[in-house]
Amino acid sequence: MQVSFRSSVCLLFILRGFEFLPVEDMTETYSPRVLVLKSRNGSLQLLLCTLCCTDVYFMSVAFKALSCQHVTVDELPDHLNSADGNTLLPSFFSCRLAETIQYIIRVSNTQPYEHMTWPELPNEILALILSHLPLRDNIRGSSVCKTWLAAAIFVRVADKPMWIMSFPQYNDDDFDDFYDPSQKKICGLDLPELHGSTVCYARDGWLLLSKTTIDHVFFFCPYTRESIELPNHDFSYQYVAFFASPKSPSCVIFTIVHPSKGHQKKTNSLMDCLLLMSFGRIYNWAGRVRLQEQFHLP
Amino acid sequence: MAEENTITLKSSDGKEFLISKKAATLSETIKAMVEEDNSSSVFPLTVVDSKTLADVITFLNKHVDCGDDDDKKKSCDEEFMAGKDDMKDLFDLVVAANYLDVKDLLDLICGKIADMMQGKSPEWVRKTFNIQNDFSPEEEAKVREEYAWAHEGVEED
Repeated sequence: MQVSFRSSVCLLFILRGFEFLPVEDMTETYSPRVLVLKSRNGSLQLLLCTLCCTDVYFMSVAFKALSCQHVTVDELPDHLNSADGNTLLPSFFSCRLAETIQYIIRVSNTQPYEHMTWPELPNEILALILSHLPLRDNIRGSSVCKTWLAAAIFVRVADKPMWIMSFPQYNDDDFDDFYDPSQKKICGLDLPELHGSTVCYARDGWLLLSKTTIDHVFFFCPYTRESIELPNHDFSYQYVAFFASPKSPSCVIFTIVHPSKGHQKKTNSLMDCLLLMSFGRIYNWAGRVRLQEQFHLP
Repeated sequence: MAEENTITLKSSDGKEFLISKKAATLSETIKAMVEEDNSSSVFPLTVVDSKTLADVITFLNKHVDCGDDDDKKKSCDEEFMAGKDDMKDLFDLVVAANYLDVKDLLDLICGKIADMMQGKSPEWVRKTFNIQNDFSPEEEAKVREEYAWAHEGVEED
């Protein structure tokens, strides 16, 4: 139940007839928090929602929740019902909400708003600030502290638009350009690894390149400058694609070889022209792996 | 007697501010409060102090005056942010903007804070924001190593 703070569902609740018991989130930064509401007739209600911790102090007026789910607790042990500064044990809640939450819920003991400073900045706002940063500063920000690391990675994954990479048109020695659409900025990088190569396919920050002069196909990540060589073998193809980062065990490279006239005599269908390899297997690879029977192309 | 088109906002330290309904309801939080309770004309904001609330109200009034003119809004925003460099004031404003749910103000201040951070080292950020480094040396080295290129060429503190 991970909810982006930019989730389009933004609800405003005005609480009537509930006393609010504040809660401290001790675990996941961006998971939903649990609010415990106590109605005037004594029954407790749990509200699961994403909201920032400052909102807790605003609760007497209104609070903002991005996603929420009510859980009414009917039969409450006496010691929980007399919530007078006792700690409500997480085990009690986890038995009902085990799949989403593991929380330690505390009653009272909240810090007054006036004494809050930057280190206590609600994660929601921190993430918003970091989302305004270009990638380089986002990465720098991630080494400030653990909270910032989590927030920086959160916005890096969730909200950053992709960069568009372009190659020098005429001269191999020119810089490769990276265009950041969010900042409308172009950043040039010299990547000698790319000289003389052609991009066959791009995905998940990785490029599949081939050197045109020699029969040489390899993965390259322009962000980390890491290369991964493909094992040497007959890699003739017209089209090639891969389906996941080459570091992922589920990476599969897929090639299509158009049958030339000569080959067509040997092959009756496109099927024979498909070569499919599991990248995870390539390193222990003894021969060409054909999985043709898994395909039923028309 | 308050006019129908104005409401009063009361800060945490008890000061009252008169503001047009049109400007006040640029805040989603106030809008919901007004919709919920039509009969009241005074709305207490228990978590926004008078200094911050005055700033927010200035911003809201300016934005109502600008209407839909984006260029005008932009120059108003620049004027509004000019000289706002105090970290405590920025903190109060960003928390208030978040609480009052004024998206334009929240974006403006987050953008300003982000601008201040651009090109700066993590050490500068820690000092400025008074944040404790809770990484162990090994953990920090690992985080930095992963994207070492991003740590090249930071400004001197």
